Amino acid sequence: MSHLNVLVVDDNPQFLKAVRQMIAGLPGVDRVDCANSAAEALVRIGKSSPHLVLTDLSMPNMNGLELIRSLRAAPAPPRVVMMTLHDSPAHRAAALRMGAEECVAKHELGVVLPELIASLAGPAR
Amino acid sequence: MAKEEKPPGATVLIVEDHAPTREMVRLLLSRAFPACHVVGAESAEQALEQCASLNPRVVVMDISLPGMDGIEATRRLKALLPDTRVVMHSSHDEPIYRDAGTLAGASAFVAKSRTYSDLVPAIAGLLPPAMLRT
Repeated sequence: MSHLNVLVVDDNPQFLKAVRQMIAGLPGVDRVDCANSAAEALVRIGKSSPHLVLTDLSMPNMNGLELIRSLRAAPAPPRVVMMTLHDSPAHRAAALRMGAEECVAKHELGVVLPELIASLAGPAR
Repeated sequence: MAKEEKPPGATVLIVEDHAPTREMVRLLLSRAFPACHVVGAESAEQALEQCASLNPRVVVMDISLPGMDGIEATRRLKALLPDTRVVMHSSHDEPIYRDAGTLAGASAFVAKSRTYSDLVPAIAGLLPPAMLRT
């Protein structure tokens, strides 16, 4: 199983802490970093090259969609999963159109994340 | 309005109906981004008319505007100019407005209460590096 580096991006520090704890305990995860904003995420991504970025959609200043757009311009972009407060088709469509692999409502993360991490930590394609 | 000599570089358009706010933001951004041409529009309709000729790199869009609101203006502007980035700039800092702006195509949201701390960094993140040099 490969060792994943994951970056979680959200403007809510309590939520970041909770998700970090959830992910850090999953098999296949080597490292979990956090960023409190899209701008901070771009700096961290440049330094640590995470395999997977979990980002909130709605953040002050740069939002999650613009973050994905910025990441896609990079030579080897990480995979991105969008997190949203509300499970809305419009949010999902916007996230997928921008290039997110998946769009997950925050209340479903506990169910979705273990499966997602397991699929990413498997053999390389 | 007299035509100014346009310096080379990106154009930033401020859409704000309150003239003192529009001028304050124009000055703030002109000083922060001297390589950019910073202009204003007092309504969504005026902004959309100007967009085709200005081809702004970034638009700073108020939400509460006379006539067409900033959310609808963002949607129409992004349909016309998909590469233009929109920064919503509003006193309405509730998630519903942020979400509406995001779904309309905005790249960022800056509350007016945080203009002096957040607007310049938000726009800097959307401009090409060459436009950030003094």
